[in-house]
Amino acid sequence: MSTAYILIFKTNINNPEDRRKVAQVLDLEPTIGKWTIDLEDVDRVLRVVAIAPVTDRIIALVNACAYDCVELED
Amino acid sequence: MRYRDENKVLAIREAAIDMVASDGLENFGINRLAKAAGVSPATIYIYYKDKEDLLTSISIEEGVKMTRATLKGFDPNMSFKEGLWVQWQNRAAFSLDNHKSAEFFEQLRNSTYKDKMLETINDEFRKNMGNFVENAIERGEIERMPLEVYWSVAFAPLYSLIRFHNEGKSLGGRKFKFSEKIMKETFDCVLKGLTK
Repeated sequence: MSTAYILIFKTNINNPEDRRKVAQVLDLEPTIGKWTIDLEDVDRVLRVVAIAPVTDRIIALVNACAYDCVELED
Repeated sequence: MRYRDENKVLAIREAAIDMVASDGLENFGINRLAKAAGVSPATIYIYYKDKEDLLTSISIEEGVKMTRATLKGFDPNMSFKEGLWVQWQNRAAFSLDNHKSAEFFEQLRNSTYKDKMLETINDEFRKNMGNFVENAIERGEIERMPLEVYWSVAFAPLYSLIRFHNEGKSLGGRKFKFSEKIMKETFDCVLKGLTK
């Protein structure tokens, strides 16, 4: 059984249009199984279910779309 | 790697039920919930993808819990008197033990989560209740009547007593405490009203 990694980030992906832009990148990333953004939360939390602990990779991908992305610590 | 921590899940659930029960849905948010549950917002996001996912999951779990509690020891083939009394006892026990959960449902009842909540009242529950009433009609114990009439007579009086109890007072501010004796007295009146 493969392990799922749940990675949580604070972002400034503010609206559906922003989400569409990052989707073009995140949807193509093979290590990501599922991802969601809570647009209602102040932290616009990006939640990623990945097959590996690819925290830095996700931050880089979101940053490349010109959005902030910081891991939310426990 | 993050492991599922059941204590944290429990703390999140309990705090969410408390918050919605007392303040409603309007001011409910992940950050406030995190503070109340003593966890970080990130922890909540490990288990739920957003507020809606969280409230939906909790409604489903609470709905299943309520359904199971209500059907405990109940058989749709019981005589009307016996079956209805089991229902009263189960419903009273659940409502009194899960005061917050009942208020949580009450808040959801007036929200867009209503449909999801209703879905949790599963087929098994509907079938059991429906068969129980049909059996009683066939045996000539009660008349056929619209569901609303049936529910208003069969169960609403019990929920009035529970509401009085939770508020600590009844009409005109009279002090009130729920008891098996009061429940039985009310039940006997209900039974007289419903049976032929």
